[in-house]
Amino acid sequence: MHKTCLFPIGPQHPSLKEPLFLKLYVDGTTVKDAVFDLGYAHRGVEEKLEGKQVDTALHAVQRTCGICSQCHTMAFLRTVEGFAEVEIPDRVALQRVIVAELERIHSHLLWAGVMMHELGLDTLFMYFMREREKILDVFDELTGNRVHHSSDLVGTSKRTFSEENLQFALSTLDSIKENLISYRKTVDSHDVIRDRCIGKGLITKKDAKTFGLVGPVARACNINNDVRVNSPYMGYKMLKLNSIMRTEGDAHARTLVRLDEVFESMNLVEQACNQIPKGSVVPKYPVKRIAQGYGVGASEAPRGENFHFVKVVNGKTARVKLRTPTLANLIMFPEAVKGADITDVPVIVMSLDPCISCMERVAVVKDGKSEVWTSHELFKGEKK
Amino acid sequence: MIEFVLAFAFIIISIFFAGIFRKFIARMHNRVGPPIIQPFYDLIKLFSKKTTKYKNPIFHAVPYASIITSIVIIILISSAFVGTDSLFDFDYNFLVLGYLFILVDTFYIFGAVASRSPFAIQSSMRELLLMLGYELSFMMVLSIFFAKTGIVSLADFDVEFAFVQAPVASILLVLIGFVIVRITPFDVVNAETELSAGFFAEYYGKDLALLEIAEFIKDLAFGLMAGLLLFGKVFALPAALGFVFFYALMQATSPRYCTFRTAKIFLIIAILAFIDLFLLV
Amino acid sequence: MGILTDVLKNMFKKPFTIDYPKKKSKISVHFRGKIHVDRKKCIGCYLCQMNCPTGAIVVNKKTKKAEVDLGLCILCSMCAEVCPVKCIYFTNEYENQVRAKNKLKPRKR
Repeated sequence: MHKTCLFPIGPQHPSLKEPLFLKLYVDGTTVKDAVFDLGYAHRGVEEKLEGKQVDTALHAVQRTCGICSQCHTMAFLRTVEGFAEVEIPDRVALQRVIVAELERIHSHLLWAGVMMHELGLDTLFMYFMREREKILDVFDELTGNRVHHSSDLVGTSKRTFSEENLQFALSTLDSIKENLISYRKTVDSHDVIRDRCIGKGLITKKDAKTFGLVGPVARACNINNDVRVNSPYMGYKMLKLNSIMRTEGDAHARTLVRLDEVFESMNLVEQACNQIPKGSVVPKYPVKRIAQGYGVGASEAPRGENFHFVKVVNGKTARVKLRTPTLANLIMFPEAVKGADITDVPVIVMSLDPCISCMERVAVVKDGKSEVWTSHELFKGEKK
Repeated sequence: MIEFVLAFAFIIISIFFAGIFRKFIARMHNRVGPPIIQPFYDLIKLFSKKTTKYKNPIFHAVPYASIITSIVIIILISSAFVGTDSLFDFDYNFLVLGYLFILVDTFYIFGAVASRSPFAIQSSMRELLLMLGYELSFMMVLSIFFAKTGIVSLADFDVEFAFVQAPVASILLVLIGFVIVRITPFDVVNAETELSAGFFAEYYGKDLALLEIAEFIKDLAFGLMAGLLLFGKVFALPAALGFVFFYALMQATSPRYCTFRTAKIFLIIAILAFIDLFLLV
Repeated sequence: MGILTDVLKNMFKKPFTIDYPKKKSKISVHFRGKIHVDRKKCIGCYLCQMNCPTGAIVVNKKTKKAEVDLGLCILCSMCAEVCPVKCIYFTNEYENQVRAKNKLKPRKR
């Protein structure tokens, strides 16, 4: 047994965009063992969501993630509208899908850019970010906010998208499509990128099933777990979509799955824009006051399945449980980097697409009775 | 005396060249980019910082050692432009130049190991691995140029467009430049994404400023030397600017190879240089 | 070498970024930049305060008018949605930084 030394990746490191402490025990340059340490970005989201009115909690739940805020909206609304039996008109359903799919495009482009930065190709990072900026301008026009859209309410939406808005969205997508095809070709065919990505961070189909991976990571291992396909919700019932799958299961496959999903999402936005009933408007705000009930719901976030449990008592949320996709994929982090070279660690970690601060939860179990700690208490290190 | 004035001018130019490099990169990224005098602002900012914690005598000596070495490099290079009456014009001074280039990197390794940062130590391990490939081939390539033309000192090197005479050596020199100037795909030594800043991970303030100036000077010195060898004295400075553009283009179009792939490529380069030199003899 | 042609093409294009403090970017009219409360219209009904996810908007007990703490506001426009007299509105100013935190708090009246 060789002596290993600690090589820290994080909590502050240029290859991580969020605080995650990956302790790599290296022998020379090979990673022998990996342990990850969390808790640097814990915010007590679930605790903050308790005791709020449903619409208010909806706006707070979007703030869970800075990139996939609409997907949290979709999952929360799917849950709430499911158990309260609120019917939503086609227009609202499709408007939500348009925002969600544009968000998937912007999330994947951001991810692709950061991935290229990890590989040392800053040019494509800048180009992907440039295309993403145009998508953010579309959000600006459609929903009023660039990142946290806050465009939906229970049973309705805040704005009726006008014809000009939809045309603007479609023309923007057209303008970036050509560039993205060219960049995808580069990613697929560039020798150095292939050399760095192919066969790195390999996850077998069996492992993916055993660990219960979700999202593009699982789809790159040939597992179809797309919530949009398996249990369609809202506007997805009206649209035709294929889930993108590959069989290789390495970093390169994950990159290509995400880039292909961008084109699929563009296709979905086009379909949704054409199917929106012309001349219809969204219902007026208080569609239904929700007093009692509980239920579960899932939506497909850019990173995978996003699961919500919501319990409402006397018009206020009593408990909201969020399971973000990174929580499902995180278990694979130490496994994937074991045996890799230090050079490949940033690439492998990035190819799993961590979104740390959405995921951090704390449940302390004492004497068989579970407790929830707030961020303040965690910071102090003791429970009041 | 005049070579000192010329060297001082080259030091100022080297900082401008760093700005020009960033501007080129920015334009290739379709950005506006920082102004060309941005490196000056950065250095002023770094010099204004206080050094608070004393680490290790070697750690603090390395920036001074490396900047002095780079200044000697640039004086040697400027002596080539001054002529044969220069103080630094002696026979086989190109070999000294080659050693000095390696010496700067060796100082970096000392500093990196003295800092005890795991990133810097990984970086120095990689540098040592690459040195096996590029150090020897660098010396051999320099020798090829002087052996082909039959000249023994830099100041006497008055051949123009020598790359026609030694095409293989010219290509190898440009490839070795990727490591010396630290450009993708061969910049594994200070790979930003996994090693933070490589050698310089623990440096800050004045020490970092001195190291950065040393890097700038070394980059320009390499550009001038390659320009001198490939295109001749008159075209050395324009050729150096051309190299800045070429390396910026390479930086913009290529990701980073992994360490072992880079080491393998440089082993092949060393073998090629050896064959080229062997055929000459 | 697709990337090489992309790079060379982009070199001669107009830069996508702008020289920010000198030039301002165009922003949509729908953009929710800064929240305003029309004090003349406000009736102090507490609906906005009840619906605010962060507790940024509070009805002043003395004046009976809603006041916003911009440091807490997350610009979700929930208050504008529930307001019965529509006295809360957003403008598309996006340069809302201040040097001191207390400047974000509502002015004392």
